[in-house]
Amino acid sequence: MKSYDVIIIGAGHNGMAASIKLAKTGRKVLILESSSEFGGMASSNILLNDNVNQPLPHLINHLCSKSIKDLDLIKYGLKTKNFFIPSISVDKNQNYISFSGSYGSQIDGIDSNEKANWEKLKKRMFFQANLLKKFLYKSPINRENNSLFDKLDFLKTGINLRIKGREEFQEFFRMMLMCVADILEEEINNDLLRGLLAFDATLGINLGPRSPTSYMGLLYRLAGEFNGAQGAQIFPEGGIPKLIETFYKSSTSAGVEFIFKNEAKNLIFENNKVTGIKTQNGEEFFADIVLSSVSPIKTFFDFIGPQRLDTGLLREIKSLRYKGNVSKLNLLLNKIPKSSFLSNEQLSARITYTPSINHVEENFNPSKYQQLPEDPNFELLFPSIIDETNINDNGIIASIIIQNTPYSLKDGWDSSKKLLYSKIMLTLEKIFPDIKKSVLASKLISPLDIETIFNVPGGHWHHSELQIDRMYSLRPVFKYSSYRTPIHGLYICGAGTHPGGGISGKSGINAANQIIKDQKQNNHYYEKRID
Amino acid sequence: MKKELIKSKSNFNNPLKKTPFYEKFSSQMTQGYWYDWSGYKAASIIQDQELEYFAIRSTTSLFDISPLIKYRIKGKDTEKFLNKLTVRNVILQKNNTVQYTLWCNDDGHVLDDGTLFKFSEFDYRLCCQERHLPWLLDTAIGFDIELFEETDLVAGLSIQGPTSASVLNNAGLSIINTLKPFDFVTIKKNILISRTGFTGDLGYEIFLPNQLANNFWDKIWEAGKYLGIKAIGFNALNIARVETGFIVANSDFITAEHAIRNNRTRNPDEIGLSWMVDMSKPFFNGKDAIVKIRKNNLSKYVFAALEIDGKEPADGAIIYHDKKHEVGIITTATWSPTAKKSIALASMKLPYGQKIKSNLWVEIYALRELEYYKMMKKVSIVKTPFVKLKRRTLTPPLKN
Ligand SMILES: Cc1cc2nc3c(=O)[nH]c(=O)nc-3n(C[C@H](O)[C@H](O)[C@H](O)COP(=O)(O)OP(=O)(O)OC[C@H]3O[C@@H](n4cnc5c(N)ncnc54)[C@H](O)[C@@H]3O)c2cc1C
Repeated sequence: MKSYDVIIIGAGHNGMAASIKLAKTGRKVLILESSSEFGGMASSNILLNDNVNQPLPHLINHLCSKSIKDLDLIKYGLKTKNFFIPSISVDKNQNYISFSGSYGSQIDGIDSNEKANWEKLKKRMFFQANLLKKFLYKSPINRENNSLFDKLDFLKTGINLRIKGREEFQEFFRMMLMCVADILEEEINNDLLRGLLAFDATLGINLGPRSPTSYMGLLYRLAGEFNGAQGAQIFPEGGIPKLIETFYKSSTSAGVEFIFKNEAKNLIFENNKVTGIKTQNGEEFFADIVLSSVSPIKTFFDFIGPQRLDTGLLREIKSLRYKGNVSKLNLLLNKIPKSSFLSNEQLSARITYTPSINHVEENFNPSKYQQLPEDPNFELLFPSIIDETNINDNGIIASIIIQNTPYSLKDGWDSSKKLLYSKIMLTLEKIFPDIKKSVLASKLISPLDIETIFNVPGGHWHHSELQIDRMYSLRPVFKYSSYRTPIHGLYICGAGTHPGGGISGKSGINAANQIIKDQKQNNHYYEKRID
Repeated sequence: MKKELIKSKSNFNNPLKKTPFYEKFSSQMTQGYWYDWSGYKAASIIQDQELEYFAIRSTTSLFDISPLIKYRIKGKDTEKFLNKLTVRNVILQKNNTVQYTLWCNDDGHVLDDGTLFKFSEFDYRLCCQERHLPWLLDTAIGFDIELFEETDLVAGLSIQGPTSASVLNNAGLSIINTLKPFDFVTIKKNILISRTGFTGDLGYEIFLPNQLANNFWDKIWEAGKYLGIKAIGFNALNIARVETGFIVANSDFITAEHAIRNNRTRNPDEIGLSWMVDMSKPFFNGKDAIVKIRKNNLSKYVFAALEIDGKEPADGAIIYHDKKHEVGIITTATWSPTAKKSIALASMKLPYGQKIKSNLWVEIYALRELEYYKMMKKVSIVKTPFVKLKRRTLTPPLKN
């Protein structure tokens, strides 16, 4: 009988983050992973050709210094030399603005008036993002987790907010539920700048810039930090694969055991208490604690099962929106592409095709009717140009994230991929006239593909839609926002829990903390391991 | 066209529906006291409330229960489904019996109570006051069952009173003589007879296809001609059910989906039905919550049966401790002609009604020819039923 203190389902970065925290307390931890690789949606599962692969994510902006420390990532190879990536917002007529530092601290391509407007707006947004940040990385306060300490903390934030002045306070509440388009149109004029911000506010979720609450998406992004730099987007040295490797190394060094290609199938529980997990090939593993890092839809429906869910809860889980709308196009080029208007140096930026708010909105519209956009928005990164340690003999990688490409398409994905590819190429050729000829290999991954490759229902960036009705203590649902579930000993982490997707490791860390706290209260005693 | 559609779909604009027994009852109606029972026209009084009550207790009464909401549940997972839905264990229920049951939401608050007829482990009928189709269908997710409403397809008639067994025998239905309380039989033409009722008396309930209703009525009426058979309305029945201590949803407690105010919902312990909750079942809707409620003593109310000094009906009266503090409310009250007492069902705030049972009073306002008489009457907490009748359970049944 194989027994452990904790079994974690899924070797995504959140599962690994949790494993590190738990193993460091001396617990014996097993991670069961259905695929052959660690990293989940951030794994390098996608081969471009026999020798080259490029994961879905390419930039990070939610890995805070505390998490880096908590998880010992530096010790296991996370380089402190990281690249702050500027953004360049382009249109098809060779116009662009460039946006650098941590979220536009420098900005080129706009006049001084507009710069002043931007500075003013930025200041306000950062003020608000800072408030949000106080809640972003902590476990949510809810019915179950509301110690005096938590409440005081909450109160303190409220008071701080109020002290900043009545005006800012009112402004925050006025703006919080607004659409990002109204705010941008109120404050700034440049279309490319507006387009970029509109894109950043809505990437990864099913909202357009004119949808109410879309401003929250932007705040969420700005509240993120990488190692202290707030709102910054970072390319970690060696790229995402290297970063994910540090999670893995830290985890194995802490003593965590990994089993790959073994899909968790059924939860074993008795009298409302989890005792283990049964895998697809019939093996059984036992533990008092099972932590699922997979989508809440799967955890509740497949592991616990509708028969064991209170009907009200079942309704809530059933109503979670989990259909993704982001696709990935990876290209392998035979040489560094030449742009008709961007310098070679500028190819180290994130290049976004986000010409205006209306353009982003028009991109969003057809997604409501299961159609592809006419002229898709995307962001493009050349990982191997940014970082020479990432250079590859086989060619130059172009990593492209495409917005508003819904999971369910009227015409089906099989017949739509070619069309989407040619649409992206059409735009790319406006920036890089010769690019088409230099493509050695290409791979387009739809949300539907993401669902199959990464075992995420709907292929959603955040596992489950991250909008204001499903944030913080409402995530994944109100009753279980404390990373617990109705089954004692079964916990959840992963992007479907607070604070949501993106590489942050916070869901994993928070869930691990909850487990440790709960077990302490139940008088479980674990000796802290001495290294 | 569209407007038309909306209109025809909106039940609120439609006249109340008539049950298959409507003509039979309405042709005897001298009073015109109708009320809306789940969208059906139902009688409060046919001719004389008091005589109707005495038909229940001395001869035979006929009451139309066709408007009861009826769901049919069939299929492989029927029992698993019902064990999730309801708080009792249906596996313990025998075929051809009826079980009084209730079901809760996630918070352990009561959604409704009802009766469950078991034909076989793969076939049940659930009867209740309120409509619950969305809840039932969502509860059925993950179970292999078929579930549909048959309210409009099945007519129901309640035959209650000391001569009711004789009436049925006269009508050729001697098959009922072996029925113990809560048993039922299905005879030819799909007529179901159960030994159940809401009166605490000897009695039977018949469920039959709509088209048989008229003939069946005629047969029974003929058979009861010399046995004091009488058509009755709800008011008479209501007195009998209070005497028995039966509660009615949305009268004695507010069901969870009806309650607008947070603190109006009730868990089974708070309405005197804790005995139903089978905690040995691995799971049912609301179990997690009820475990928590019991562990942390979170119940705030208790159901109480009261006897009140004097003769004044105490409907809606406030209950006081030491004539000073409000400690509860009377939900239904009546003069019991059989017990010859003023009796009531009440909801009391703990610990009153459980630990503190003495020095309790009700304040009654009696309106007599446009003047109020205010009285403080002493109440005592008693056990239900207020009226206990041997003939209710005697098998074979009493025949006269
Ligand atoms: C196109 C795209 C681009 C993105 N770009 C970025 C980006 O640039 N920056 C960024 O920060 N984020 C990005 N994201 C989001 C980010 O990749 C995810 O939010 C994040 O990786 C989620 O991590 P996780 O650990 O919570 O879950 P996952 O990574 O989904 O991990 C869950 C793991 O569980 C495994 N699993 C599932 N079911 C079972 C089972 N039954 N038994 C065993 N194992 C199982 C899966 O195989 C997987 O390994 C992007 C997402 C998409 C779709």
